[in-house]
Amino acid sequence: MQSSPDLLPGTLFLLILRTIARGPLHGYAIAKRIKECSSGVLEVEEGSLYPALQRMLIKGWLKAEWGVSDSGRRARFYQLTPEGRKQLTAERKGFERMIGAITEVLETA
Amino acid sequence: MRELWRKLRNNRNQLDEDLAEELHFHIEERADELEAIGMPRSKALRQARLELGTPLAIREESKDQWSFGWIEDWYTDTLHAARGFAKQPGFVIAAVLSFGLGIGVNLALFGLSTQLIFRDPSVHDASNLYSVRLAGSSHIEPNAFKTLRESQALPNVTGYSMVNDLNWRNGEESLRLFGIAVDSRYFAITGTPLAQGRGIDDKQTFTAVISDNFWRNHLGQDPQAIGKPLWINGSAHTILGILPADFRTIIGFGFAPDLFIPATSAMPLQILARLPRNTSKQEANDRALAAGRSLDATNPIPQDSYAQNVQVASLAGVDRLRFILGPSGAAVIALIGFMFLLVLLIACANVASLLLARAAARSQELAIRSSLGATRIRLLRQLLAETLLLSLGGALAGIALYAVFTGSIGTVPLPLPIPISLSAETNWTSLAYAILLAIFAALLAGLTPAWRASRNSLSNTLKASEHQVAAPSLKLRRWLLGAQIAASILLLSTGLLFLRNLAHTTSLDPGFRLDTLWARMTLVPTQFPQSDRIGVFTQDALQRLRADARIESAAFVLVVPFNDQSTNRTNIRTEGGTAEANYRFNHNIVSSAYFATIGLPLIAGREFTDTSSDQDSVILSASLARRLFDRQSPVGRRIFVDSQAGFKPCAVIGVAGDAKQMSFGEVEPLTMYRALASNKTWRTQIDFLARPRAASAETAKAMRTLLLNLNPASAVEARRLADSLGLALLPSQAGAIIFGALGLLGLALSAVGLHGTVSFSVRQRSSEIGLRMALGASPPQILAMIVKENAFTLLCGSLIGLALAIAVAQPLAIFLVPGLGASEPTSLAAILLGIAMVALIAILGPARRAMRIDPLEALRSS
Repeated sequence: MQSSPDLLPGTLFLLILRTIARGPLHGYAIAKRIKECSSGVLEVEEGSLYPALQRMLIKGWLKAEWGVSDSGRRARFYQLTPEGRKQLTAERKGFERMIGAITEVLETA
Repeated sequence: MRELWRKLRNNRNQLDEDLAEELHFHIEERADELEAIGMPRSKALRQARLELGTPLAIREESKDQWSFGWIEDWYTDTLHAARGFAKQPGFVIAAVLSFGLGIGVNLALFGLSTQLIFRDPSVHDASNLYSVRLAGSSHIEPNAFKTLRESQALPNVTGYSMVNDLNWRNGEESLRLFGIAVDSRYFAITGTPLAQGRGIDDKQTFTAVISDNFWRNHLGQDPQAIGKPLWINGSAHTILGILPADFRTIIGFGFAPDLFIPATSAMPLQILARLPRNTSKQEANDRALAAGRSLDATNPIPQDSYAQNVQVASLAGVDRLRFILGPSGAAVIALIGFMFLLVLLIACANVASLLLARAAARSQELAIRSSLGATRIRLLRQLLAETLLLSLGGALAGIALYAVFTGSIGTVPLPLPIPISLSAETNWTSLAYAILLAIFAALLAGLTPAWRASRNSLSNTLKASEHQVAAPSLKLRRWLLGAQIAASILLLSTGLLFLRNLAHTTSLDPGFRLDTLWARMTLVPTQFPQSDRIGVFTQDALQRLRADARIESAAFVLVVPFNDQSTNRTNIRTEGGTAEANYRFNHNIVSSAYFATIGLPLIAGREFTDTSSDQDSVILSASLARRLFDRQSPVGRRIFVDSQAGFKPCAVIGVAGDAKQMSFGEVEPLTMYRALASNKTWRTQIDFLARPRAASAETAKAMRTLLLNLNPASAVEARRLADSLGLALLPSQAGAIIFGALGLLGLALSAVGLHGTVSFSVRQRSSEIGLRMALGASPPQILAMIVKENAFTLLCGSLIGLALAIAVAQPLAIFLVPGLGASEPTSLAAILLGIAMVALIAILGPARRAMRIDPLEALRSS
């Protein structure tokens, strides 16, 4: 379970925001989508996923609603709020700048 | 902010259910997936659960996101503490009572001093209202004031003056009132608030604004009071307004005048000026200087200048305090504040000591908590929350004490010749101060014990038995005890100092007889349009008094000893005596038979006569005669007193004994008496003294009736001089009561602390004591051991306390008889003996317990 490399600090929020930007998803689907999209490299621990979702609810970036999943079970779907969308843009910019900087260091130093 | 709102709206139970369901869903989905790749359902479910980890932990952590952090911890800590305290009522009562007393007395001082000293006067925007002194004088002459009112430099100038000779005709009798006479612009410029009606202005001449107290006590809260006339000084003054109940005058110190009236055109006034907002102190000073210079041009004063000794002080904040208190007053106030704070410190030491003992007893509980993952900070917070709960309980007790104080302080009678009303109110500021004190006390009392308690690691604690862990805390408790004793001694010694001062003062000879009767007569000015008629009336009244069979002799006096003061500073030259020099002396005008009446012996010469032949005669006090003529006899010689019209020759016709003027402690009361015939300006207030043939309260009444019969419109107050010594005695009385009470309170708290410390040491060393007894130590030897152990602490504390007491007596010296200090041996010895007695009583109980320890029992239990 701990086979994936540690996430860069602060990137969990960014990944979650990006994952549900396309539409509402439940917690399990978020974890799965992140894993799939990263070709299995990034694995989000449930122990951090659910507290992070609660944190983001408090911050007002997400909205949660109970709905029915593809499997026909009751599931809680998370969805971006306008504030969350703004946050996504901001975090994405910040992340890109950092990656750019790191790359620059790696290439030139 | 929005986050806080979301947290507050969140429903905890719903959240928990949602999380549980969400995690359940997670497991089911994962199991579905595993099943799809061929795993049996039951195995798939187990595998999914395993992958998820501990659902409970995830739920807790998710829930924690919604909690309020330290506030919530504090809340649970407080609940936990309250549950723990419920099992130890004795400990809680001791701690809450200690805190309560400490906080209560400080609240009382805070409330009283706020109301009497620290709060700005009741005016609109006190910060740009300035008190102005020109030519170093508090008052300015009426003509100069009139010019000043037109001043360009000070465009908004007004003035006021205290008046104590108002005759109020109320039905069949007259009463003397205290008032503030004000210029017609006073209310407009100061913005003095009113509860009802309007302020004095220049539309009407005879008006008055009365105090809430006057309205309540004398007018029966008449709802139609405004517009009604008050007969003041023979004229009907229309009541324009009523001041609010919490009105504070510009003078401060709780001065509570009965009313405001318009100043007459002959009254010297104190100057007030309203300057534009944000005027700097320097600018204010410059403006006052400019006004002084222009006054010099229009109203010159001989040999002086209005632009000299100019003083400007804002009526708000520190500037005002500096102006009304001066450096010595500020030192006294700071010292009193410190003394009160000491009581709280003693109380804190008590609680700290109790907490140390308690922490020793529960070290195992704390060790187990820390082994279960509580961090040191977490433990520290828990322990501090407990102390804070105690100190907040103490604050409640203190507030209850304060409520009793505010309810009763107004009714304390003050034997003073001016109306002072003591008051303190419970408001948000005082409540906030109580909470602030509680937090301060909790930190002070709780931090060290908590720090120590949270330090012990599990292994240490579980290995060691109770007494080994507690050993360092005993040392700390001794320190606390020493500090407590030092503080109590400081308080007690200061209380004793004032008590001795009081005893000393009353035993001192004022030089005259205190059983002399004194009648103050306040006449109606309209009855005496020419003031010299008052002189005639005085002579007449003297004759009638002397004719009365109950009166042996009677006299007029201008300046009543211990109540009024009139000093002169001028150059005096003598005939055949010393060279010209500058003297500062008391000045008085007295009638014939004054010295016989007041019981002041004439050492040489004779009394005055009331005829014009004695117009330029003087009688000197023995001390002044000695200064002027050394050992030669002054009677029959002349002195030359510098006045505006040059040196004026005066014949010395007598030398009287030294009489104290304002306080018993005066060493060399230089006084110059002049005869009735020299009195050129008569005030409408005249004072008579009488020597009764037989001492009885009836004679004072008879004297009053006699004077009232002579002039029924006047207000007459008659009493013995002994009954009007408030001004001379109050500082000593108040000091003795306040510091004595604080000292006893401190001593009682220290005794409780000592008792606790000794009990604790006996309990924790019971095995050692048992061992000693098993080896042959007798009970008296055990007692001696306990006494010896604590004697050192007590002695050190006492010595430090005494040293502090001697130092503290310095700024208080202005209240004390000269030569009286804290270092007097008998009182030092008395205090030490007292402390020793109290200490012995405090350790008697635990010491007896120690002597009764059964060696076998004690050794077995260790």
